[in-house]
Amino acid sequence: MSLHVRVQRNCYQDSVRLMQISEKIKTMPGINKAFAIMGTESNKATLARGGFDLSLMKDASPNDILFMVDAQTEGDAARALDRFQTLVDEVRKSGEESRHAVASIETARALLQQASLALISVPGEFAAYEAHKALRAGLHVQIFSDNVPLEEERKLKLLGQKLGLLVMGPDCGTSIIGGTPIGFANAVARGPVGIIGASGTGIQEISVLVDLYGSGISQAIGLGGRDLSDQIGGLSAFMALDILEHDPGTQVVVLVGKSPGPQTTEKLVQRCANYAKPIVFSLLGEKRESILKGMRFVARDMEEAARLAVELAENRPVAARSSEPESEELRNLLAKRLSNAPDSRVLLRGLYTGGSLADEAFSILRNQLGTIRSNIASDPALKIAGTENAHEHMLIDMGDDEFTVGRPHPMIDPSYRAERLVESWADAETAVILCDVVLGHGSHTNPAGPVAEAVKLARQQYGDVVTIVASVCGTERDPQVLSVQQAQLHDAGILVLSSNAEAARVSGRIAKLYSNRRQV
Amino acid sequence: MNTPNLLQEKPAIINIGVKDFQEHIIAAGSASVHVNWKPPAQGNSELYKLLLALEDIRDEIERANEKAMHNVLNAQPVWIDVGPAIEMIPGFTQDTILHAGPPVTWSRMCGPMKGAIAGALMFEGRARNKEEAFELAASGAIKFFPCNEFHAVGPMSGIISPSMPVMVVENKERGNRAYSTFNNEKNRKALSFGAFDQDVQDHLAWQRDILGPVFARAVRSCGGIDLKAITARALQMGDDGHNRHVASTSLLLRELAPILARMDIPGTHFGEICDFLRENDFFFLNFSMAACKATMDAAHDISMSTLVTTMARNGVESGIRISGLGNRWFTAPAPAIKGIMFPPFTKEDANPDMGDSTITETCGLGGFAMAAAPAMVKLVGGTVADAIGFTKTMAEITMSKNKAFTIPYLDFDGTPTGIDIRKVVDLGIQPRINTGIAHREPGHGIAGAGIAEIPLECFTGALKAYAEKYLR
Amino acid sequence: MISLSPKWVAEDLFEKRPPGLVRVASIYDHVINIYVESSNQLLMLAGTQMFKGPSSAGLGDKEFRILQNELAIGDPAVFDGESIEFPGAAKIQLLNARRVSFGVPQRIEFDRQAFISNSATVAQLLKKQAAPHLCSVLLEATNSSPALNVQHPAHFKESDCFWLFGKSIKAVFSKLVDALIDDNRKAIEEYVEKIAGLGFGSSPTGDDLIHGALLAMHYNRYLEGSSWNAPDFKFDFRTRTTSLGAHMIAIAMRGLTPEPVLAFIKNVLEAKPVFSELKALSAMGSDSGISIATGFFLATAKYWQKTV
Repeated sequence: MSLHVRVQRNCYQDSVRLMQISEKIKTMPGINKAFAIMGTESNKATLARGGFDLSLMKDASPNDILFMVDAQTEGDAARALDRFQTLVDEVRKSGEESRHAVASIETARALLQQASLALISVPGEFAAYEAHKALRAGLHVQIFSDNVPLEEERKLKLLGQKLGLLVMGPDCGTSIIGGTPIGFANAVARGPVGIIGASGTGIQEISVLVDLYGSGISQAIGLGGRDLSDQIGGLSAFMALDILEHDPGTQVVVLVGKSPGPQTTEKLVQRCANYAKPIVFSLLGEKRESILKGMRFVARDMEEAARLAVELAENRPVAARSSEPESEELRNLLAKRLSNAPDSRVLLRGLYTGGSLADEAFSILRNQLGTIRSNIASDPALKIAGTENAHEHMLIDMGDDEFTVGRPHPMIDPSYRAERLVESWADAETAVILCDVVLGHGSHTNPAGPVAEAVKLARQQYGDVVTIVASVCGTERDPQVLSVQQAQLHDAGILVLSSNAEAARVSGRIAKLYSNRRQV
Repeated sequence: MNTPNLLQEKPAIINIGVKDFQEHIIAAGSASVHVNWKPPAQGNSELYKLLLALEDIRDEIERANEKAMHNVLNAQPVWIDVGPAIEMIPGFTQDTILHAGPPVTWSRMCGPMKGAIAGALMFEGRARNKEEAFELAASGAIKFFPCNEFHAVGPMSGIISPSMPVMVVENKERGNRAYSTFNNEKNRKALSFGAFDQDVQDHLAWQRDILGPVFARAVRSCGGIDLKAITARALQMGDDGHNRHVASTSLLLRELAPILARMDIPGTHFGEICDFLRENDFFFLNFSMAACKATMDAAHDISMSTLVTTMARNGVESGIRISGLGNRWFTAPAPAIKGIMFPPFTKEDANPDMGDSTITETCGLGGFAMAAAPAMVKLVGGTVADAIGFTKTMAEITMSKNKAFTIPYLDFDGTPTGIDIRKVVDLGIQPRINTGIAHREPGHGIAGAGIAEIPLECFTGALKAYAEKYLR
Repeated sequence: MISLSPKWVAEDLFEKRPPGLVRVASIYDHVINIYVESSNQLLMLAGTQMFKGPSSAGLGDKEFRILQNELAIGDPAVFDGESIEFPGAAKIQLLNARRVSFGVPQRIEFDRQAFISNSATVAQLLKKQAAPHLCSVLLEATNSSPALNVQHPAHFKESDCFWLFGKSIKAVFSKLVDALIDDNRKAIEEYVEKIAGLGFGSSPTGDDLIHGALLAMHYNRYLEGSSWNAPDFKFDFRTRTTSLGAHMIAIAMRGLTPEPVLAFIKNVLEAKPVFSELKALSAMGSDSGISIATGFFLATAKYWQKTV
């Protein structure tokens, strides 16, 4: 064992970098220990106690760095100390060199020769130009930005078609390409199910459910919200279908979106008739039943879509979830609550952060409850402003534009949905509150936290009169960890279901229990 | 270009916009580069709309630019002859005086330029002193034109008068020619900086009577001297083609000396010429400029090209010309130069940016090749890293890299060449120039050195004119 | 001479007599440190990526880059209480910028019982975050409440040299906390001197722990309705530790701390979740943020267990 130290003066390196350098030195041959530490009296004394030669460090001042190595031979030590020095100098130089910040896509392309994709998240009014430049630089494009004019989208997608490049978006916040999550995406298992989605949280929900059912995602390609409209005509959708048809890693394709234009839907149907792999349709929208008549795999919601996809891909049956999943204990709690709650409390309020989750819940609840108002309703008779509080059942997408001007999206900043939750609980007509909690990259570090806190606060202040139902869109692998999120919600007395569709149905059923109780 | 496979594993991703997205991409094991995006045209929506609209005709623009750049990159400028300006430069008359930069009238000219013109008029024998020269110049009898409009270039005030000997540089690839005077800086005094005293007059006469004729015979006898080869070598020896010419001047002398030694000329003349080249560190500047002029002229007047083919300053205004926009100048007030003043001069003494020498930046040298001449930082301030950064920044606004001029410090990458007005307006990055600073009073010569930029206004003006011409 | 306006200024910059002549100590990616001859505190000029903190002023990206380019280590400057001037280069006008306070806030909703019940959760979270750092030697608990007389932590390997430093820290820190709670000035000075400058990082772990513990005294005494003055140490911290470490101790002596720590302290005292705040702290320095949190939490926990 050979303990060596060297003093480096006037070296203004931050400690994180020093640590990284020490880690590198440790991997050198013959090195047992290696670290960099400041030359303070206490450190010197401690090192001396540990067997390092004090005479070598005695001139070091507190602001000098000591490189320490414990090596097998003197030669190993000398090499390591030299390397310490070199790496520190390198960091200093590269710090200076990297002062050139890359200003354009073209320069970035020259630096990253193997680049295949450009992710664009500049303000919407400028996104089209960047996308043009990216396509011309030979890159596929994902446009996260929204508020890009329709005509620009068309031009871009036609150009992309000409160049053989895919344009995902605008308004495409989610994709999983080659195993890399891009934008707001969950950490899901790899597997044979491919997703083509015109909506971000739609892709997220289906991907986490496929993971939950024991399979995985090969690729998830986003299209942007308008791709399936007749004005765009599915330009990206068809290219994506071609790509996945040729991808050996994909066995089944799930197509998820909302209200495709009638002409586009017809073309889709035709294409799918001679598609080499099974396609599961998870399309929301009024006329879909009639248009999709005759297609083999049409799911009534995203949960069913995921289940069908996994069955087809893994060639095994996947059990449907029970529609009355509460335990005995919860049933008793519910009964007690129903008897305690004032008669006025009969209404359901959905407070959503994910757009497609809101769409799906709205669609399910319409069928279940009849009249339900929303800021995302396409029927003008049902449409309300997001900030309104209706005297009927109501579902609000709080990620809608009217909320996000000048404020982060509720998936990133959960505080104002939490505030709204408390307000809804306070409202004397509220019986059931339905929420989504979305995990994954890009989402808040602990989205369940504010929801749980809000529920506890509201219950404390206004009594245990409201039943709150939620689903968590996430996996164990997500940074927020599905079970940790679910546990927080459980602890707050929230009924947690494993899919959005299920949560919506259960909340609708419980809302009926509240209103039926009044009739008795 | 092969289209990349969208579905490759762990795709390498270029991120533009919100930096946070990169974190997860990198954590997942993909390589990524972040683009520091800023609003195009600094947020000016009118210009932005033009830039976007130009994407509609992008194919044609690229074709035109390819053609233009082909001419630039393949140019072969060779010094073939010397003679008096009035004999060599087509269209030059007895009353012509050419000056640097965009067009400017006598009354608006800056001090050093007026001083240089006075010196030239005295040299031509048309005035005996400064007062007479000024009177003559103001009278209207003398016709002033930009050098650039006559296929010529001149450093600093860039004054060319009929009797001055000019070098003739021919672009062998295309056959077009360009012209420049010989650098006249001697003993820290130069006509080009506005000095006009007897020493200057004597030197001008010496150039006319000795240097010019001797060089004429020498260069004709050897069939021409390849200027591109000298520049390429000099770039690897610490020169930058605009402000450092020690290496290139030495290389030129190496070419000339054997020829001169074998010519039948008085030994004193040979000695004087060698002395002059030995003392004048900037001698090759004019050759470099003429070579770049011959190169860029070959790419000028190509319909729809967005290539900048001229950048020039006259001490009052800076101006540019574009390949696809013919002979129109796009000008703006010349900016102050940021740099170091030689004692005893101070910032108050500095003349604004002046000279045709930015033809070198137009051609990918000078400030664009600063990474090749990091010693420049001693003159203009900054660190070596800054010098390298300059070149990298200039690469953001150019169309190509010139493989003939490679830079050791950048792993022998070519110099960024071919300024695209679209990129300048989009990124708001202005071409950066290393330059000398003249004293604003005529007669004092060089007062400092530093960094200047061509005003953004020149480029935005050019873009608007381009859009008007080609976007209907 | 360029005139720069900061986006924000720490209120405490105006509280003491301005030092006059200062000089540039170091220039990093996100902060420029200025050495003040007459005091232990550094004056920091922060870029937008740096957290807000006491004794600092924050600049926008462009302004910060200008300074980065213009300044060199050793450059002199003058801080006259209204502005910081770098002769020939730049002048930063402080007076009219938005002021931010980094001292003890007026309202903290503290409930002793709630704090104590929540301690176990906090200790668990802290332990997880602190695991790779030296301060974790203090968090190995023998029972569910954070104890300071800890056993040899099993997961540190001798080969990491942590144990060498960890031993000293463990031996001294709990005694320091006791001395602080009893306000035994002589003992406080003895133990502070022992662990100042000890450990890894450009502000060594020992200094960060001292910072946390000093803060704990300010806050907890405030919650009890009294105030507290840190002792005047006889030795010059700058001889004992790095300039950054001395700075951290100096600001804590005045009860000041950076924003990410403030956020953590507030939530810990109000028994609210500290998950996100700890995450933010782990980005502060290589281990400074977590070490400060550990020092604060352990000192506070002991404080409220002792006083009945």
